[in-house]
Amino acid sequence: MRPSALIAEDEAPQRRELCRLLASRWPQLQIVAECADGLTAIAALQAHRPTVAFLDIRMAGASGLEVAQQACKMAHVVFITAYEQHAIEAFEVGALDYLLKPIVAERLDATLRRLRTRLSDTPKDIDSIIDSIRQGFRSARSTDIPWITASLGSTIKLIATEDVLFFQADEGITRVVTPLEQAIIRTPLKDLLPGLHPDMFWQIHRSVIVRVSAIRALGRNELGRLEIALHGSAEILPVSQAFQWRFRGM
Amino acid sequence: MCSSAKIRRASGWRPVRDYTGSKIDAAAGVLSDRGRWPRRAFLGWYLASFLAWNWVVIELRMHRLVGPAAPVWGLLLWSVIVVACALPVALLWERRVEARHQREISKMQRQRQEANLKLLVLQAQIEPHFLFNTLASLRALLRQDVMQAEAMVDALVRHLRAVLPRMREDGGASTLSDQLAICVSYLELMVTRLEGRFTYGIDVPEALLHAPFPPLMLLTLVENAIKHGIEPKAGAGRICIEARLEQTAGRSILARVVDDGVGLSPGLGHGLGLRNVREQLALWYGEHAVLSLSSPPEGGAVASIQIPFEGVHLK
Repeated sequence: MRPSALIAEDEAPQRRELCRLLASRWPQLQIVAECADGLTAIAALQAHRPTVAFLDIRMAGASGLEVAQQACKMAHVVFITAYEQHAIEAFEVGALDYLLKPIVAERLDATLRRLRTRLSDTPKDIDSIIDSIRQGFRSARSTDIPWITASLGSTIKLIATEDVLFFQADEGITRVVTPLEQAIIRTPLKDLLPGLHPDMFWQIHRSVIVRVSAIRALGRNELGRLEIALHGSAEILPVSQAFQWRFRGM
Repeated sequence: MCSSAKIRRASGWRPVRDYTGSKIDAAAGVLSDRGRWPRRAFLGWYLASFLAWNWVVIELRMHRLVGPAAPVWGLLLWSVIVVACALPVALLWERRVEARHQREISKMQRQRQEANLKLLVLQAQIEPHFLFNTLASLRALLRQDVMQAEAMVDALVRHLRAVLPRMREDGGASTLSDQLAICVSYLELMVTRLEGRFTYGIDVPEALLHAPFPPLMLLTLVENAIKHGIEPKAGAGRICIEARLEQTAGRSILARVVDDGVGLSPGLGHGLGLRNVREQLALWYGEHAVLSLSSPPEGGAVASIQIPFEGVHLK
């Protein structure tokens, strides 16, 4: 059986160049799919079941890493990257095949030689390695969420997290309130909390997270429950029993 | 346990503690107050010693230990003593406080300059991913289409020329037309790389071209439009850079990057480039600049920067 290959690379000139290189270096290899984005690549993987998949890491739709998890155990994966230092280190450690852009012939030859010897083996299970790389990508970004993309009626707007006065969960949606406007996101508070700086935002109620610097005053209502008033909003927020410790000693 | 937090308007509400005077205000107050301290101390010392001296004179007069002219002489003597002892001390003290105050101010200025420089260096860096990807496309084009490859080298050179010297200049020297040139060289490169998957347009009135505009912020918005709007979109897209003069609340420049790409999706954003732009705008213009990004109902995305015209707040 002739070995077959899938190529996923979002820039057309580079995709054509890789096809040309493969055709000249490994004429037996049959290129069954050339994909311009991640989602097409996943579909083509299912349809053609290629022996080898060449995947660019940064692609629209789904990243090369996500495509690779779909291709796992089905195809031998070769990653292509321009500059993902973290991923490259992980590839080295996990002995995964990868090519650096611009792709040079000698390096491609070495990769193809290795692939040829492995063709008869079942593809390596790289799921866990990719998981750890993706984890690394996530933690390489700062863990604090700088922006919230929220709906304001039919418009979607980017709101800087430090402008938010408070978040309030209410029946499956989360209200994002700033001094100027209030918007809505579908992210529950528990998913929001890890991305907020613990000294900047406090949870003060099961359904309320407030920006500490927006707190104007702490008070008690007629029933003796603690509440806070804010700068830039007339709304009064409840402080539940479980979170009252935050205000002791302030 | 109450079910959900009910938010109400303020009524029947009794404050326990007021945090109105925030830390920052307090710090500023202390800083501006310090210079006046020696004067106050001198005045206090003057009054206290005046009262004490009067008391002594009254006691002495009551016990007839001094003559009726003594209070006049005493007052003169007292003034001489107070001025001779306390004034030089107060002046020296004031000078020392003043010097410390100055040191703090210059330290703050230095920190601000350092922050400025750091951001500038950060922005002037060519993203390695962008550079290597461009070179990969270029290498591919060398065989496929020599004319295109040539055009790409030219566009890359123009882009590098436009971006690299920014590090040496001070930020305030850049104009809107400089920034547009950087965006155009970048867009030209991307048009070649994405094989005409998008077109672009520039709509900026002549009068605004020479207005000061902070470096590389517009480029960040354009890069975002490509990366998050055009690239993920199937089919052709368009990016338009517009600028106009706004007359509301003092004159300001509103620069917008409009694309018809996939638009924003609700959730949590990690845009570090935008965070940089926001921080820089705050550093340069304080409250007077606005960065906003939104997706209108008809789709696509609009990113905008609004800054005071003629850089009146630019330092």
